[in-house]
Amino acid sequence: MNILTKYLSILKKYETIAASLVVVAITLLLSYFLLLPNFMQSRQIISQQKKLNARLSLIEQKDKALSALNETYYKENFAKMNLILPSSKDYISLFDRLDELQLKTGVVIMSTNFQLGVISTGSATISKVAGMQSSMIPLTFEAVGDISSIKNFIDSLKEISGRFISLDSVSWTFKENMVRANFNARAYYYPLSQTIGSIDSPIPKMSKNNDSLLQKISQLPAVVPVSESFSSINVGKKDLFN
Amino acid sequence: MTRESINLVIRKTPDSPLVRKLKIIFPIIAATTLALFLLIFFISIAYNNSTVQKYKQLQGRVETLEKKISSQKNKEGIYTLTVSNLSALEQIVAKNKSFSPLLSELYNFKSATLNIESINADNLGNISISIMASSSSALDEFVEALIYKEEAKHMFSTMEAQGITRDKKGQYSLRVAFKADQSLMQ
Repeated sequence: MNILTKYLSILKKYETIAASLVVVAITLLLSYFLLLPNFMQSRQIISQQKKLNARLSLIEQKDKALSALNETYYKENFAKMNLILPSSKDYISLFDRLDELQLKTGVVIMSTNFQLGVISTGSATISKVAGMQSSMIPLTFEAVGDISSIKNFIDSLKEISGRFISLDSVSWTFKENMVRANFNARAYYYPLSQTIGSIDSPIPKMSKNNDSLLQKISQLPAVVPVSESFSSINVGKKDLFN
Repeated sequence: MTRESINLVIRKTPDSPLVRKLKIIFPIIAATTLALFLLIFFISIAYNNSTVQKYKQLQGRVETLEKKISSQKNKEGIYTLTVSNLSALEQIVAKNKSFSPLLSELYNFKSATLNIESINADNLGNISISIMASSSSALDEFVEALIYKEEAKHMFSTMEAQGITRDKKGQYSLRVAFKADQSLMQ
């Protein structure tokens, strides 16, 4: 009994201090369980807000850049570009190009040989040129003409006005005023990408060289869609008896 | 009958100066801590609420812009494809060589006494030319002209004659291999 009285008297004596300590301890516990999660949440929100701000500035820039683009201009020029660098091997356009150059320069194409390789579209990787984005079709052809028409022909091949063909090697044989030229050349194609970047990925920038190339391409005559080119064909009588 | 009084109150022992000080300081600390906790707690709640509000607003703007960009997918696609096609085309055009200046330069050797039979050229500038000269002096002139173009104009280099033959008509044929300067292939 005496001991209890003694402890009670000590407690009574230090009750203010003890109560203060209890309050401080409870406050610390509350801080740990209530304040700390609040701080953590704030931190998380701030970091997410930063990320969102960065994303916002990216998509704002993208939106601005996209709004400035003239879709019709790019559509028209993309069609023209497809004539110069098609997405598939398209050997018909190779014949067309050589025919066009033949008419333009006066040379006579004696023979052509296209090494088309595998016909399936998956063959794109097979003929990929090292260090180049596009794939190539090796071709050889022989042309006959006088010296000026052969020179014109070579110069015209360099022009960006139709299916692009580059020369690897040439051999010229001269007989009187005629030149027989054998060309080892390459035609190119560039399979189109099936996907575009994510929504916040910046749109690719066009370099000065690309821009000047596009300017040249835009000067080419407009490509007439196949459906329109056939629109003027007369179909004749629909009813044989009337 | 006399009354006896008993003192039930526990006798107070006087506090030491330190305890007296602590009894003043501790409640102040406790009160301050509690007040501070409450203040920071409510501020943090208010701050969080406003930050969440701002975050939602920001998210709303992002979503609106994303929808706008999605609606321009076709435009983005055609532009992206155009740029990538142009880059591929630029690579091809940059590596393309022209043989026209080279042909002009070599064809200038042709004269009444010297006939060019054939020329082979590749895009690295390796050339071989076969000529037919009507006399040895015409052959000499051709070789001198070649040397002049090499030494004075630096158009050709590493020249190598691959054989001279003379036929029964007295005509000389010569085949020369050399390297053409890249300026002739631009």
